[in-house]
Amino acid sequence: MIQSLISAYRSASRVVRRVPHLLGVVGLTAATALFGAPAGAWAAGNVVISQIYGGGGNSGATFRNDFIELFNRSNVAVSLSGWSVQYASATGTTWQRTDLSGTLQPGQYYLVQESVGTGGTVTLPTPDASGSIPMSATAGKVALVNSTTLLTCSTGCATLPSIVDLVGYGGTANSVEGAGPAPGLSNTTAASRNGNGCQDTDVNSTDFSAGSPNPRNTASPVSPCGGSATQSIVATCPVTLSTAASTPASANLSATDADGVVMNVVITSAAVTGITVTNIVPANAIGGTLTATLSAAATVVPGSYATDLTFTNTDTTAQTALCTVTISVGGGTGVALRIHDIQGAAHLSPHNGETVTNVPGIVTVVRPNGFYMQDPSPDNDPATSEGIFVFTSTAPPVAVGDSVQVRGTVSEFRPGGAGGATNLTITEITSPIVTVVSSGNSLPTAVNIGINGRIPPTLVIDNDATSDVEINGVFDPTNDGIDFYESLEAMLVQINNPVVVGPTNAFGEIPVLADNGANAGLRTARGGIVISSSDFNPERIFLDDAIVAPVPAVNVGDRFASVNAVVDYSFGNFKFLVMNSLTPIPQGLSPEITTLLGTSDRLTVSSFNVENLAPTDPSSKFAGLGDAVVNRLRSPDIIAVEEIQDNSGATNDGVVDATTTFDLLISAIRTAGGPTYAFRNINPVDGQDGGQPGGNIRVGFLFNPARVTFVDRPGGTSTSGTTALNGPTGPQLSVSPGRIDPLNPAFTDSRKPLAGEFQFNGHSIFIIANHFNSKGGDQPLFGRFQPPVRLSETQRQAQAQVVHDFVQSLLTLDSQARVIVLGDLNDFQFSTAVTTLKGGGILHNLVGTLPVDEQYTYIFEGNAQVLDHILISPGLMNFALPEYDIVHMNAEFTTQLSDHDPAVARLNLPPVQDVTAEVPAVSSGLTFNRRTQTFTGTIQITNTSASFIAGPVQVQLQNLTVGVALVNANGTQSGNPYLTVPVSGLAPGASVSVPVQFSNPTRVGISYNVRMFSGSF
Amino acid sequence: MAIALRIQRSKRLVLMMGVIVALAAPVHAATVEYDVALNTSSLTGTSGYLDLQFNPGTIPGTPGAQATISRFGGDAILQNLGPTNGTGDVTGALPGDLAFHNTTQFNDFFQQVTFGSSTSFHLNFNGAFLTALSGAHTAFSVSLYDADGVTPLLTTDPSGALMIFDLAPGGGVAPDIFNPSVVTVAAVPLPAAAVLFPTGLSLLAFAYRRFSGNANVVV
Repeated sequence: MIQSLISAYRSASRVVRRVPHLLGVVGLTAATALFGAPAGAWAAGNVVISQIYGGGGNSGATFRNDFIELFNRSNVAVSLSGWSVQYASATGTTWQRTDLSGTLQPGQYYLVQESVGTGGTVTLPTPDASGSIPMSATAGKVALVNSTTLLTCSTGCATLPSIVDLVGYGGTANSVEGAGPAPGLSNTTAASRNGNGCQDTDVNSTDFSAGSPNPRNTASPVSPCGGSATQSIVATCPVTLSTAASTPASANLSATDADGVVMNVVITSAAVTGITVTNIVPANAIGGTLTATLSAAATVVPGSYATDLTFTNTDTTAQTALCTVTISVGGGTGVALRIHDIQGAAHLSPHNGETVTNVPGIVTVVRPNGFYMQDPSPDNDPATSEGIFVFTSTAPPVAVGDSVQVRGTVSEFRPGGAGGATNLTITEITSPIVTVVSSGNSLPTAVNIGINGRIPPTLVIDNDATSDVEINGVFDPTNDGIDFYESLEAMLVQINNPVVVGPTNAFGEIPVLADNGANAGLRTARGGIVISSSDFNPERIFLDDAIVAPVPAVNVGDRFASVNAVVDYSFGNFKFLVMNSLTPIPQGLSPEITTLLGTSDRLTVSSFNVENLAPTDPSSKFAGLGDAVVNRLRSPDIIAVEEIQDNSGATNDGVVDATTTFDLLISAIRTAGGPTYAFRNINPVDGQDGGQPGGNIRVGFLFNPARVTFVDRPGGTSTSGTTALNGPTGPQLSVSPGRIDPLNPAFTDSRKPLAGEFQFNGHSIFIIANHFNSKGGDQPLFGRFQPPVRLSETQRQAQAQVVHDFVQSLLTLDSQARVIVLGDLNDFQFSTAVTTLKGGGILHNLVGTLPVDEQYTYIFEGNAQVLDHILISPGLMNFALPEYDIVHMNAEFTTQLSDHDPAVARLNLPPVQDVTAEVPAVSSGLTFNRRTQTFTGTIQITNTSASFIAGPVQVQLQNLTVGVALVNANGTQSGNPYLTVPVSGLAPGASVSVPVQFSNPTRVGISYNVRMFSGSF
Repeated sequence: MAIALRIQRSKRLVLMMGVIVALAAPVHAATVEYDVALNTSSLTGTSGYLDLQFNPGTIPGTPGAQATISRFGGDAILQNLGPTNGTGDVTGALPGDLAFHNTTQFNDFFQQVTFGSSTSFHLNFNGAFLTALSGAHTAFSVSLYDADGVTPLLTTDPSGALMIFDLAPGGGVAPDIFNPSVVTVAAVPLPAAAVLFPTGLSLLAFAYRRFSGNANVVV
């Protein structure tokens, strides 16, 4: 049963949706356990073989049949159900059996009739069980077995666990209880257990005596063994108790004991909520009658419950009596309603839990565990759905086009099981009794979603609930997307000219817009639909392959002619289960190639989430990435990569190093015709950075060493952070590459940012690669709770704050420091996290330089959105002429190298500019300091041009006299010492005196040519 | 920080002198003269050196200039007298006149003394720099050194000097004083200029009073 439920779904990896309906299975299992309980509870031997007669029908016999007689020598009732008596010849191993049934009360006999013969004249008393075993009249073996499995033993049968009692009779019997067999018999003698069946010392030879056959059955007078309790409890119970769902019911119970007082009755089967025994009135004297009431409350979940009732008396050794009542709930008549009454204008049915009957509908879709039906006579209220799912658990006996009448229980099924708490429910009829009225009917007309039909809201998913949309807020299908689709639940729908806004995913889902997007919100330049802070696009429709599979693999912009579907809900979204085979109308979307190519003056920097890249990936993924880097990103000078896995990929083996992964990627780029990149990264601590278990994903830098220089400052570790320091020519990192504050709790189970110091055209550039924590755990857009709670934001905002503060520390040292923060920030450009990162204007998000319809790097459920960002510091924003391009090559395509689109930024960072002509320099006279042994003075520089000259300004002394050195130089460039004038710039006419100190041991004439440069070396 | 202060001082003096020069033109066409006094009372009785330097900014590239020391006075006791105290393009010996030219990188007169309460001298600048249009400047610097010959006294300026006269092409001369409590500089008015430009004279007199401070040390 469980198997059939699971097989109804296409993938074991997805949560089985029908878990609540397994309740029926649970009940059955509980009942089975109860049947098993008596065998274990009562010691074997209390029911015994009390008489054996094998001469029936033989010459000289009185009785015409052989028989075996059983006897309950205990003071409790014993069920024989599932037991058997078995016979084999005196030395044989071939056993034959006769199955037993019923319950044997204390002192009660039980007659098993066996083979008939031609002799004899007297028919046995009515047997309680019958077989046809021809038993030996003189010697043989008889066993009482607590199963119906045939024995195979010869000797030693008595000790087998299944043996309740064993009797070997006649001297040749080779398996007996005790020292010897019961007496040998004849055509006229039977072996009878002494004491009317009560004696059982486990010695056949003494427990039995030969005598005339005396067959007794369950109708014979009982003969209790021992004590004064010669009479047993006689209980009176109904066989069944039936009621409609949600309808209480009760039945009377009673019991009496001729020689005792019946005191109590309890339920000894598994507890069922709502099933109770009440009003117990014990018998008031010996022979009196106990009365009680067995009740099933309205809350009992519909189903069938075998309920065991055990009565007890006041005897010294209490006697008991057992009866079983089958309680059936759900078989009532119920209320006659139509589907739109059941659905109501609400998320939850106003008739939830009620039994309904005569609900009419036309079967529209048959599923393995139920069917959809729709009322052919809808009401005039579009807010009330005319469709409903009838859950039959197993394949329903209906066909599409059947006109049916359904009786059952209205219930709200929440898909997803334990993990589905944020899902909406689906209104269903469960435990149905389906009557097919007629077949071959035409289906109700599908509702057109779009032009000339019902147009979905395009802005609001819900704007009136404060938490659980099922129980608060206004049901507003006109304006609220979540209510709009709810009003179509389980109905046939048609979408004309759907256009794809997200590629076919691994679950066979395709997000589309109706009418080629005619009424949709802001579309991307390539056919998708973008989100904004106030619009998450309720007009997206999810086509799903649950019925007709597979759906075709399509890309953004592709179209279909029309789609027929039935509306379902799962995994946080309404799903349109496609009913017709889809033929795509491809629109030929092509992956992009960036226009941003690096030049001598222009640096290109990229961010690329390569989605769990590991050496275990197929070589085609590496080749694809290599091709993408070279031919689509055009070999950016620096690439911040995210989701690089360790050398062993997702194998959780303690490996953290990722050199192999990087090398394979670098090799693939080279193979594709690109430069030979180098890489830098810092291995995470094993298992501490989140992501796919065992993968140890991390961020890293690829860079083209022919274009840029990575400034290595050794000492970076997994657990120590880098800091900004004041270096001789401006800010520098304490270690490079270095992680930023890796022990900060903000980065628990998440990737640590990686900072690196680069040089391009003599410029220092600080780059921070990031992969903030994901949005996992946030509530779904179309979930039960509105507005959705986005718990993941807290950690992300904390991460953003740490990176913000680090950038601030660089800018505090140099407000014009060139800083780039980039990566998969896992949040939107308008999010709190990204706003925090930019706080105080220390970073500018380059995505904002793009048209709104190009602002996306990712497509989630058809929503084009920005998760990957490149942000730059004010010095770069103001002076480096930033250009930006998101290279749409993955997110829109069903075949993708990664789920993210990479982005490329280009920055104009020419070498420092020679401004010698604009900024003449004049030397002062020099004074020799006898202490420092230097000639000291100043060089005065003046901006004689009409333009602002950007700082810092470098004063370089070329051709300095041999033997003379500029002692206070800030550095040398091409062998020539220079002095850095730490000014933001020189306005026209501005002049600055720069101190100089020369060593000149031979006191020669000091001579040099001054060259002036704008910018940093 | 020291540099900034130095620029600030220099600017103030240049401004004042600039006003004077404007009103007293054509001063540039003639020699420029100053009276310089050093208050060495804090050093009285100790031995040390008086260091006078007249160095160009570069060689070549600095217009020619000449500095003449005369009227050397005060109560310092000069030790080891003689022209051998000069290095580079320097002639003469104290307490007589000294003539410096800026033809070498290091033109220096390094005179051992026992300091008294004051030392003073008259200074005259002349030469091609007065009319030159461009080039590096020349510095006339006045320093005091300890008896060890290498420890500058009464100054913190990185040059080791108490003051520097900056001689710019075109004739601009700017005294840059690093320790005003020690150094007093007074520009000396020229008689011809006084006759021709009484207004300028009166301003120079005003400047004289402002800059002279302690009249007693002016020789």
